[in-house]
Amino acid sequence: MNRRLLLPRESGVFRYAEFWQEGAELLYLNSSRFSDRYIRFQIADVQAIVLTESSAWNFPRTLAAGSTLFLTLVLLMALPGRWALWSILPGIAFVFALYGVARGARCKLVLHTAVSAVTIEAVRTMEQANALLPVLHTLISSVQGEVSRDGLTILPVTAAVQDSAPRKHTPLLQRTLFGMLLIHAALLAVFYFTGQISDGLVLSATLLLAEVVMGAIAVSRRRETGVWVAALSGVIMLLAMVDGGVLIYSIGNSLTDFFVTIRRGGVRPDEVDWLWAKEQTVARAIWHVVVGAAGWVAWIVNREPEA
Amino acid sequence: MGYVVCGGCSLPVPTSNWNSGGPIPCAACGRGVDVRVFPAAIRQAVGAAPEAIVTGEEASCYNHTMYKAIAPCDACGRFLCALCDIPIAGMHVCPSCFETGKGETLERSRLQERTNFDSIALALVTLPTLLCWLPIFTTPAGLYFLFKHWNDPSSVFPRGTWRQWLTIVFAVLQVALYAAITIGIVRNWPRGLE
Repeated sequence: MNRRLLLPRESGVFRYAEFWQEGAELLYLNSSRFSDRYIRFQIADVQAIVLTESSAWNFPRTLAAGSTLFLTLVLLMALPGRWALWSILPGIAFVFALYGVARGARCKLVLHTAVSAVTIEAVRTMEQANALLPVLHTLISSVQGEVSRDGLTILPVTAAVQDSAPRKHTPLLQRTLFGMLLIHAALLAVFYFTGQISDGLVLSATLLLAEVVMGAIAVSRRRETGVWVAALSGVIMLLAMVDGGVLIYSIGNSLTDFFVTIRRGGVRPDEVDWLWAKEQTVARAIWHVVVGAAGWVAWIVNREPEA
Repeated sequence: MGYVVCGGCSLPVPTSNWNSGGPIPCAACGRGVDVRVFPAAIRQAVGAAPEAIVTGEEASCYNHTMYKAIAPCDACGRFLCALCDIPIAGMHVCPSCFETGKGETLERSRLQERTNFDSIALALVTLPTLLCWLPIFTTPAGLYFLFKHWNDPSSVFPRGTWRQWLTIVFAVLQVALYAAITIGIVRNWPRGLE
């Protein structure tokens, strides 16, 4: 079956939606990632499309931006010294909230047939609606014809089906992933030059885990992002797994030293030797900078000009 | 067709605002509403009346013996009159086959939901790693889900099997890690605390 994706996937953390054309049908997919729901519409049966605009700012979005900014500032001012670096976590959430606003005006697209009115979750922003509506209108008109302005007369079929492949785009996930690599490298540099490598290992391990998960998800979106960006995401995932494995091994050995220290009569954390910590931190910072920079280059090269 | 409503306030959009070529502010909530109506909305639905059998040589409907058959059911082969014929996905189907969804094409056109067991299994072996103790229970559960539903149909879109293999890799790594930690703790347990 020849399918055509009419819009790039609209993704969230726990859900995504897609809108396809499949021959004489439109196929709407709404997925919770664990379960897919499909709704098919015969193009000949579509009675109306209703698009309702709304503002980029709403109460939940404003609340999210305000609270994450508040948390970032509070942590930044309240935590002493290097602990203030933990404010990066609500800071990342604040950047996400700002990105949500930067996506622009939102909308609700409802597709009417004789027996149903379905909200198409694949279209959430006016930018997406402006890309989809002309294609959808042409598709339906080429099958059914047009209705005159007075709503009483059916005009003959004149429009031809235009082939408009969806624009490729690099989703937020990838930009966050590449950005996070550079932030991770900067954090490692701070920990390294302040002589506090062991303090930064937990944060670094958490970020490595996030990189593995995000890299895996990014690879799964290879159809939207192109070969190079997806391949780089795969490399990031593998490097993070290897790096994380070595880190776990290092921590495991250090724990052995820790027990040895206890046996000698008393807990003295200063004697715990973090195996390879310095060398591994340098290597981690280098690969993060190299792959992160390569990711941004790949994104800029793959980015298509705005229509 | 009077059911076209504003997506913001659910009040009807007047017909004078239909097919206006762009969004027009809703009279109630002020949001821009763009309504595009197509001929299917104003075309009169024409039901086909079944024809009665005139001569004894004509095939009759399986359900209505007094009516002439116009097509066989593409799923079960029974003859159908205009009343019983359900055109769907380019096929002619009888009501009972429509109910049961017989036939691959019919099943595809009726398909409404699929569960992605591979994603569930992968989530079970990855997400709980954020909590140290939870994978002790969730990793076996993930492997159970994976192997129980290995051959179950998944999404209608091609997904590949990489999630299944990644689940196995993560599960093996976690089992090895927990075994190593257990052995390490047992071997290095401080004698003074025994």
